[in-house]
Amino acid sequence: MPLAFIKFDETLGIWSPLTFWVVIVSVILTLGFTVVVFIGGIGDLKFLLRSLGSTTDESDTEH
Amino acid sequence: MSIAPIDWFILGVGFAFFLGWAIYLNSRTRNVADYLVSGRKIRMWLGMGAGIGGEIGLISIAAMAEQGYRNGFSFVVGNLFSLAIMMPLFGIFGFGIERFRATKCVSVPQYIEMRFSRNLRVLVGIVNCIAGVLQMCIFPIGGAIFVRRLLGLPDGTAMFGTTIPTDWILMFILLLCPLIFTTLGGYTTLMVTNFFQGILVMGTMTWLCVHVFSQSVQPASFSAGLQHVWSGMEEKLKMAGVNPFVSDPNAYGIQFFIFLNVMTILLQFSYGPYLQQYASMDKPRTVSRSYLLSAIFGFGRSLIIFGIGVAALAAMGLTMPDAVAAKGVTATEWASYAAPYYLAQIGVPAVLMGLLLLSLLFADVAVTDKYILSWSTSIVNDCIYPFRKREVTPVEHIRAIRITILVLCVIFFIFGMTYKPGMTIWSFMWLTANLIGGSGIVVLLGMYWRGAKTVGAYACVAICVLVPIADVITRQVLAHSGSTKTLPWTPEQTGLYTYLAGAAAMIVLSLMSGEKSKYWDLGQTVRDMNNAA
Repeated sequence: MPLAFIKFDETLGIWSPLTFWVVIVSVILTLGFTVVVFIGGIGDLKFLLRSLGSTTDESDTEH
Repeated sequence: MSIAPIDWFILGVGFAFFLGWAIYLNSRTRNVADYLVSGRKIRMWLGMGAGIGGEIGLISIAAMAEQGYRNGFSFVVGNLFSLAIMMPLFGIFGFGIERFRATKCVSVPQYIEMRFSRNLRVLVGIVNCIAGVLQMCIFPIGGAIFVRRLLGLPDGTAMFGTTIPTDWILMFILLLCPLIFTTLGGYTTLMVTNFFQGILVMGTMTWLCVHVFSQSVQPASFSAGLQHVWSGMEEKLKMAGVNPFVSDPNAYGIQFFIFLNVMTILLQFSYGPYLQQYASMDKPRTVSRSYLLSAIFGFGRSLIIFGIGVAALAAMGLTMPDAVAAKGVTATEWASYAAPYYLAQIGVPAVLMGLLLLSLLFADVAVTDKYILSWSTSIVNDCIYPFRKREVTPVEHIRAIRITILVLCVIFFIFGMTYKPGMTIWSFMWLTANLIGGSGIVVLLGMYWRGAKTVGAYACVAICVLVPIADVITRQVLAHSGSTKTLPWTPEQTGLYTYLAGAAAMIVLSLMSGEKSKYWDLGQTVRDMNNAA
């Protein structure tokens, strides 16, 4: 996989590869998490729709 | 850039999808609680999904692409340090945010009246609303400019027998859509549509980023493009592209990150849109868990958008093309111009273009809705109703908020007609957020320190208002005068030292005051609420 052969400017020391791999890992985590959030969110959406308009704790909105 | 029929179809079907949800939810919204905080029925995953959508606004996309172009990926390292502080602070200990949730307040001014005084509540309410509105002023014009440049539209459009600035037409669209969606169901609509919007924008931006990287080389290839873009960034920015603390005038610098961290902490319990989102969650622990997961898994979405700016940098370098300079674009404006200009140059394929337009439109709707609903609620609750003698009905309450939303849209439009960039988008947004940070200091010390007193709070708020306003006005005057001069310090430096001065004033004056404290311990309340079913 070409990713393993990415070349960095050696004059930048560890900063460039460190930044690169943090970017790659962060993006992969985010994309995976987005899928998880979508699946979990659909369940929470069903709960919200069932409970909308039902009795709620009105003291939470007193001001 | 051309828009294919399939793109218009995607835009139309997508708009109908979101509108359909809004109409349906409007029919299910029964009371004020549902309208303002979704009846506190938002569970973690839905809240997080909505949070994703609510954080990637059109203005955010424009701002992050601008930052990627100016500074490469150097923000990454700074953010790692920030994560090391923020994640345990908020995600594990729930510092401040769980206690605020435990107060059951829906706004900062509401808490301030309970903890300090009614008059301070009114002052903070007015200040925060002015700051929030001032910050929002840049949303429609910034978004309109980005879209105009992306589509390569002319500066003026012939309409009604005259030439109207295209930005005004785009601003009108970008304000009309949020108006429609906030009218239809308030915060419940916002949370659900933001949830879907978050998924849409993540998918679209990822695809766009892959496209941009792939197109940076011939023949198109993502892996070769990734190398090309990275090497291009290294070549153009050198160490400043990966190290935010290097001694370089273009680098972020340590003060920038100190300011960013301090501001992030203070805004968690002072910034209306954040607090309204937390208030909508079912219990304090959900708030901190939501923050933790967002911190760990949310950074990548910013980096995807940064990447588009970095690709523009690698391809074009930092120098403005002559064709753009000939249009009178200043050096300050060019940084925000570069990414959409580059996208227009390489072109966006059909289907992706349709999804991109839909994403950008609803990125604007998502964030504008969230913020405008929050600030309108605050204006009504904290700037108007404290002066009313008569109690209002829920229907009157919601009507008042909707009218306020309409008035704000008009204000934003008028601002956009005269706005001229005097600093980067991020700097404008953070400097205006500084005005609110003062109340964050007041809330923080109020929740944790028995000795916090009203007179100290007044001093803190005053300092955190007057200094940033003076800075913003000065920079706007310089920008409009066409002068190349700028203030000898950065907006972030103004912000940081303002916070320090405000906090110091609050502590000193509180210690000198003989006022009886209205402090109460929120720690036990947090534990009780978290342990409840």
